[in-house]
Amino acid sequence: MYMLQDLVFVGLTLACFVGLLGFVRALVRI
Amino acid sequence: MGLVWIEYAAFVAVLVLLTIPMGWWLARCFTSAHDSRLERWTYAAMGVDPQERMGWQRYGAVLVLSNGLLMLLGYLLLRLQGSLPLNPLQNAAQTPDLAFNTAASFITNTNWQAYAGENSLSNATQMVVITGLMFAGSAAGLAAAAGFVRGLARAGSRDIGNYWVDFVRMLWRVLLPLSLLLALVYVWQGVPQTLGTEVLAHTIDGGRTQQLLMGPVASLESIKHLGTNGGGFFGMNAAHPFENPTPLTNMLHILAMLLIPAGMTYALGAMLLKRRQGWVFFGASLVIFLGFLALVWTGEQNGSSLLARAGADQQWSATQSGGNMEGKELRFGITDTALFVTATTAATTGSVNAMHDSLTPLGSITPLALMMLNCVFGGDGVGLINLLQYAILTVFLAGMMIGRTPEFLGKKIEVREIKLVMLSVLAHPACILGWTALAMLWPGAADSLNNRGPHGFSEILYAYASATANNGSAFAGLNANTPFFNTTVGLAMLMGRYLTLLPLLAVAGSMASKASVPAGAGTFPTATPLFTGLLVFVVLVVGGLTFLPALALGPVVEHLQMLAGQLYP
Amino acid sequence: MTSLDSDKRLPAPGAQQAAAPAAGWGRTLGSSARAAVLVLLLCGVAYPLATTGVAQALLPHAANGSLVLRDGQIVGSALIGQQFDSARYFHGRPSATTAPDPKQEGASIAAPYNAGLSGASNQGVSSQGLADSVAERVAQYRSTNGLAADAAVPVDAVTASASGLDPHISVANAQLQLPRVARERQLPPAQVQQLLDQATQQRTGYLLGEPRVNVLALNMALDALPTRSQP
Repeated sequence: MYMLQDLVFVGLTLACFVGLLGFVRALVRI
Repeated sequence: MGLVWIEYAAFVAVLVLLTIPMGWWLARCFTSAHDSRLERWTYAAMGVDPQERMGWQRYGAVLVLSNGLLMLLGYLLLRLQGSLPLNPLQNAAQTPDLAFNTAASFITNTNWQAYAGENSLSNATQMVVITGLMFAGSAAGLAAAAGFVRGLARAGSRDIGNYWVDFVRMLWRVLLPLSLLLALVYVWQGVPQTLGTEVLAHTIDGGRTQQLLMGPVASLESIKHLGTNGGGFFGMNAAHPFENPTPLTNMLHILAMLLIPAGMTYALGAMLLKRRQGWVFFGASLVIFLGFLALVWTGEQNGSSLLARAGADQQWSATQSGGNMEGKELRFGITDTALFVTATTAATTGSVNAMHDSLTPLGSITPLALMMLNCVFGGDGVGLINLLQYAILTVFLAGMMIGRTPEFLGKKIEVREIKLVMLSVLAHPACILGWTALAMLWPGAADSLNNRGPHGFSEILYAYASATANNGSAFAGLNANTPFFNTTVGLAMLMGRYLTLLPLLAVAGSMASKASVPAGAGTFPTATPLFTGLLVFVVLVVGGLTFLPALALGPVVEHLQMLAGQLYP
Repeated sequence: MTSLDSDKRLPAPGAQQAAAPAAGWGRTLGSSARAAVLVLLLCGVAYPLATTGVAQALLPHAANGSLVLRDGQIVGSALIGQQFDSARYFHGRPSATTAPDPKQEGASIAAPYNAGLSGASNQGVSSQGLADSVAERVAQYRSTNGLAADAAVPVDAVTASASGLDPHISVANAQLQLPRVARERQLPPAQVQQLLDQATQQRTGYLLGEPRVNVLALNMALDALPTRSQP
């Protein structure tokens, strides 16, 4: 029941932090 | 009434006196070449090499990665609360959206709580997740500041330190020992520290049962303020007598909140061997702080015309504090509450000893503005970084006005630095105003409001300002425990923390690699009262221009309507 | 540029970095995971437990909630307010705490001084609801304490506290209630005044906080008086 929501929020967390790692890489180019 | 000025003056004096040793110690922690045996054991247990030299990219990546894993671990524990031990009240697990919000909140040093701790979290959770993450979020911010200051201090170098070393040292040398000591002082004043959960009392009038909830409160309370965290054990935070029993604990909370942020300004000066530069930043913060303190004290002491019309006596006298006492505790009155409100939003702590939702409109501008500015002492570590970003901006503006390449602390400020600074400066209001606008349009979000009219708008504006600034206080009438708010506030917290921190780490790396330029006749001196004044001006103007329209729609309109006697159901 | 930051292990600026290359991502991920667990264990388990141990050993009364006992029974905490309705007692400040409604799932009812769920009204100065509540409380205070229909009522007596558990009232508030309490208990007002003065705490260090009266302490002192006529 909460399984889907857990997936969503864990996924969101992972997306945010992987995105931030990408952001760090992008900052090199500025 | 003169007592108020004496108390505030004494507070400033004590703050200055405490800043010096704290700053000296912080500088030592960041620069010493010696690792204690405990620290070496910690590095071995983590499997990290303390000798590794990190460039800004690696430093930032390690910070992001370690924070991400801590957030996931926190989420896991919050979702499993129902099955974990030490849960006598059988508190259920947090829902996924709330757990996401809580975990994000505590790792970003925000401590926004869309829940009331005393009846939804077990003592185990309060200790392991809440208290534990408080240390982590705070140490992370301080480590980032260390990297940033090294970037300013070094020349021709690609390395700004080692994230693990900074992080671990902050835990062992600053946060843990001071928290333990302060916690015991709090217990002495009456803050509970027990593994038990509840005591049932039988009241003397009517024999009613009063369920007194308690737990390991003092250990949370000390790191809550020292680490500029702000999350409370109880829902009503530092207004609850068990978190803040006496005027002395109140003052200790205030000093604890400002201790490390103020100390960081001194540490900067110590690490750069330019003590006066540190005092410039301390002074700039203090000036803005005192201005807003005066505003909130005046607003609250004058009280509200609504209360006056209804028959309440808000006059100050020897036997009562007077003023707007709705949502305030008597032992703190107006004076100590105003100081707490100012300190907690300046230091982006977010604990509250009164309900900000019940502040008068003018009084409420202080917490809002301080969160929007986010650099008046600011949070552990990040406050200094934010203020330095404004300093770079100030130097840049001054340089443009006289047609010279701006220099800051011996390094040229070039296009790359300004781009990164502007990215960080703009991310903050974009996040606040963007999410606020979305929430105003989102169907159903208005059901969460506790007040209608302009004050309702303020509730939402406050929520996203608090989240983005990683403050964590709230106009608590807003019911933020809905999937919409939990998710958007959670994202705002993450964006506010990392989108401002990472560009500035890049600035640090860039500055570290530059050659040092000796001061010449045309160098703009940055350790002078003139620069302090300019810095304050830039902070207020940039902050003011960005947020004045939003403030006008909220507190200013509310104030005008209060004077006109307009009420909302 | 010299600075305090003189880590002797650092190679001179510009020299080749001969140190080992940074750990790979797998290794860093592993370190971050171990660090997360270690931090939560150290700061979330060891530290609070150690603090609890020391606090319970050195300051057990305070560490366990400053409980107040009467005739061997726990009647409350010295720090937490409780509801007083009877005319024989001094009344505390209004409290906006609630409790779950036993009859209706999901709803809540007013439950003043509910220490199981601290709460406040969170109403602002433009709230009709607050205006109505305050007006009602003012009227009630005046009638309960025998004041004139336009007498000014101390603001703390008609506003709810932030926690809902405020144990104190202002001295002005207590003074206005004194005649009623003395009359109900058939005590000379001077005697009640003496108890009131004893229960009044002044500002800490002459500066911090406000003069305040602990309502529970005052009421218990009243109950402890030997009386000639018990109701």
